[in-house]
Amino acid sequence: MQKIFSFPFITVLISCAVVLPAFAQSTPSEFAELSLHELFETSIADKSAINKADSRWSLAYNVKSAQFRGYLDGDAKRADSQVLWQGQGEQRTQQNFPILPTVIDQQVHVLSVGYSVNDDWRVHVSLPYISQSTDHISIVPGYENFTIDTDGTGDGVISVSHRLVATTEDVWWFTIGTSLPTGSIDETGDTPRAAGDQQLPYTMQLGSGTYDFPLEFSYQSLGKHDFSLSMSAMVRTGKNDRDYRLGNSYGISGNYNFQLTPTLKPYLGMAYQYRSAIHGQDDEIIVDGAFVYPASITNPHLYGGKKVSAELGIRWQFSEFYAISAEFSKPIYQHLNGPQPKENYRTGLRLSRLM
Amino acid sequence: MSWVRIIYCFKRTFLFFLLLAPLSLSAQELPKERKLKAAYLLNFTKYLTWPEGKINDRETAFRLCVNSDPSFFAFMQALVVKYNQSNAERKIALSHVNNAKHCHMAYLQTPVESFLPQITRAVIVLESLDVQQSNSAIRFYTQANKVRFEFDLVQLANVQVKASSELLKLARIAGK
Repeated sequence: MQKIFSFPFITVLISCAVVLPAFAQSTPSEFAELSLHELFETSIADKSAINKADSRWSLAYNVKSAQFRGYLDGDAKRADSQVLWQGQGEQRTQQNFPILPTVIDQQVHVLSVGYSVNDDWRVHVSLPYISQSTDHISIVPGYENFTIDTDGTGDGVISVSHRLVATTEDVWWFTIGTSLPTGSIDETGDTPRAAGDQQLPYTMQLGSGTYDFPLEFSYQSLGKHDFSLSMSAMVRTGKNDRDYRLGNSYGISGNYNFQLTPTLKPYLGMAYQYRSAIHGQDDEIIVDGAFVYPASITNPHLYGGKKVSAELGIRWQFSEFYAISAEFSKPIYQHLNGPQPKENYRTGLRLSRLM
Repeated sequence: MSWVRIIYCFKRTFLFFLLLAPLSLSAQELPKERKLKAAYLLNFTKYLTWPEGKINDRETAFRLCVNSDPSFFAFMQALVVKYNQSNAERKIALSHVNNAKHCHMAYLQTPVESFLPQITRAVIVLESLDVQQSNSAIRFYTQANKVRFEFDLVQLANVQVKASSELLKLARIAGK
């Protein structure tokens, strides 16, 4: 059996458990919320954190969903009937396939734990649980309509955020992390390729299979206009056990927040994302012959593209420490390496305990 | 994907990130006494009243000026950010005394030139009784391990600022 907790690991862990609390600091948030009378009663000799809001931990639960429906080749729409190869009588090309995913539904539950080391440094760990379902049509007898489902843990992420600049007008943060290959890339299901379960295409896998590095620069204006901007990237490295690597992605997004009431903040936003195609190929999901890709989602070149989305959301801080936010986004422009299923919409619901 | 694999991956990465820990821990901690003084400053802005027109329509932000070491200024800055997030109507603008055009309140850890034009009409708050600064209206001191403050009502009247009775109840009045 693989030895998970080696002696050096446990030693380092225990050392950190002893050392970190000794460096624990009280945050400005805690002090900013103290009333005059609370200040008057606070002893400077008291080594413990102030009574109020003394937790440095944060917890967030995020439910996200996305739906993909219809096809784009570049920014041109392709009807399902154009992408589905109808069999003998119609010319087979690299642009049509005997199997066609029609609707892809994804749902991700993400549990995140954060720790604020001090005002300038934060550490986050998150683990997603993914469930997804893809409806297909095909010309293969017995598989005219079928659905494949997969679910399980996705790739966990550990990240560190550092506050670069903080003034009364704005704040800059930089985040770097590691996405761990904890999600499966060996999901199987019953496809028309053969009898029984076979390896599923890239979209139905739960992880990347590689160690990846998420990066983000974010800016928040705290002045008269409350808005935030961020630049992010997911840089993927190496190749996984199946000899491929998902494409890197790069994004820019911005939100403008409106203060409806002191606790209710609706926002509008725009996001641009570029994602490159998959590098390498999983040879287990291709077939023999002149046309090796039975479905568009088995072709690694038919992934990635550019996308501009409009977002709207609302954040409600319903108690001193807890907030809930809901978000909906829809692409207003997509240019995909196609034919490729296009994104229809995304939703998000987040419950968080504030730091 | 088994739980063994998940834990194994997290373990490898956790060890890597431990290398970053010393960086974050090197940040200088401000003593609690000074943090409390910074929090008091925020509260003073709520319990002191400036004459009409002093915080004029053109510039609604309350100007808090500080002459201190960088660690206190950074903490004060973080406090003001937090305050401004929940006080949309009247924001506080923080600046160094030397960089300000005018100040409503000036907090001094060390003395400055008394006739600086930006502080001539400001409520001057001293970090301790040891700071030798004329025209100060509020001075912090410690008593029984608690931060206390004394008010010089004459100086406060000179700058036409009124203190609420709630604030005065907690203050030691200088000269009494």
